[in-house]
Amino acid sequence: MNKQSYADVRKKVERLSSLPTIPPVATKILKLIGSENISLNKVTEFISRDQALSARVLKIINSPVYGFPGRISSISQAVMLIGIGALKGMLLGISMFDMMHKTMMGLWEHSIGTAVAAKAIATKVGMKEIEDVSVAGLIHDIGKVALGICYPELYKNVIIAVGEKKIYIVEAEENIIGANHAEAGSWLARKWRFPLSLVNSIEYHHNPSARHSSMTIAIVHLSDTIIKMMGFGFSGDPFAHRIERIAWDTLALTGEDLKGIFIEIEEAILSQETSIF
Amino acid sequence: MKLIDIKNAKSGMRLARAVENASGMILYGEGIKLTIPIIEKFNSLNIDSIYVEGKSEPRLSRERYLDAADIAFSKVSDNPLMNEIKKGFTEYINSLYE
Ligand SMILES: [Fe+2]
Ligand SMILES: [Fe+2]
Repeated sequence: MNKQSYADVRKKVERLSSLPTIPPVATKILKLIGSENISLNKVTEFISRDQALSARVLKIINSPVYGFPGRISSISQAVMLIGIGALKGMLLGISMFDMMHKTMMGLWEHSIGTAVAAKAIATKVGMKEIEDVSVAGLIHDIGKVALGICYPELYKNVIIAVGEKKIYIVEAEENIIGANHAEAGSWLARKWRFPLSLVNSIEYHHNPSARHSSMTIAIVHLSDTIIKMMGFGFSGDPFAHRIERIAWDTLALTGEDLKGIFIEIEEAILSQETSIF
Repeated sequence: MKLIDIKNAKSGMRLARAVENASGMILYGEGIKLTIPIIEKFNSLNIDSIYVEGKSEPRLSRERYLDAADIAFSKVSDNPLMNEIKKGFTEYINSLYE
């Protein structure tokens, strides 16, 4: 198969939810996320009607990925606490897990790990909307799933090229498919009317300085690298990108802060071996 | 202090952090010794993880941690900031094995 044009890739990615290979629950979730005038009531109702989905939402929300370990027992409570933006992101995270090919299982761990790291850093720098940052970490690589679903054969070649040529996955995606996962993820996030901070943290998680570095982008950027360094999960991309100075300065972390962050992340991962992974 | 999955909670363990309900009210205070009924109560409240006293075993061996960091940083090993972060991480890993 030949390399696609950039516009073709975009068109295909944006129509992803209508692909026959997407599991029914995921299709339903994606349809809900993308609908206009989505209300808290509507989402609560949607999740509550599906027992398995309810259980998964409660599981994630009570996990160290979010700021409320072990305190949320009902969907309505969950929805009120984390808000519509973060909830949409979490639902996308869940459907992403359903959509993921078995060979991409390490990506789910990488995503959860990045969310956990993002929460630890956000807490350390004193951010208020911690759930939004966690969710940004959770779905930062959503574009890999999108490209993997739209171009399953080519994406296998991407993974092979990364291993053989020791290049960044972004480079391999551009060479082989014609667009990278940060772009693909941002197309989806825009199409599904995600909050701008979420769109930006997906699009610029490898190069925050391309955008005036916001706190959320800087946190996702650093979390992605830290979780790779800590040897948790596998994102298809073994190599960490250089942390940009501007993002690092935005966070202004001391060596002690960093150590505290490592401890938080390890504890969160250790406590969760079975429940959400 | 370590954070554990509720499945691994055993009577006799001590809470290292208070367990609160959704409105922030303390249900069980720091230092409380766990009993079977308390653990069952946590289950019925959907509480998945708790902080208990004690130190957790590291997730990986020291070599595997350091290898992972080497591979992850292999393309940026000439960058001072990355080296600083890696140095901090190496120190943290070493402290786990003291
Ligand atoms: Fe990425
Ligand atoms: Fe990533």
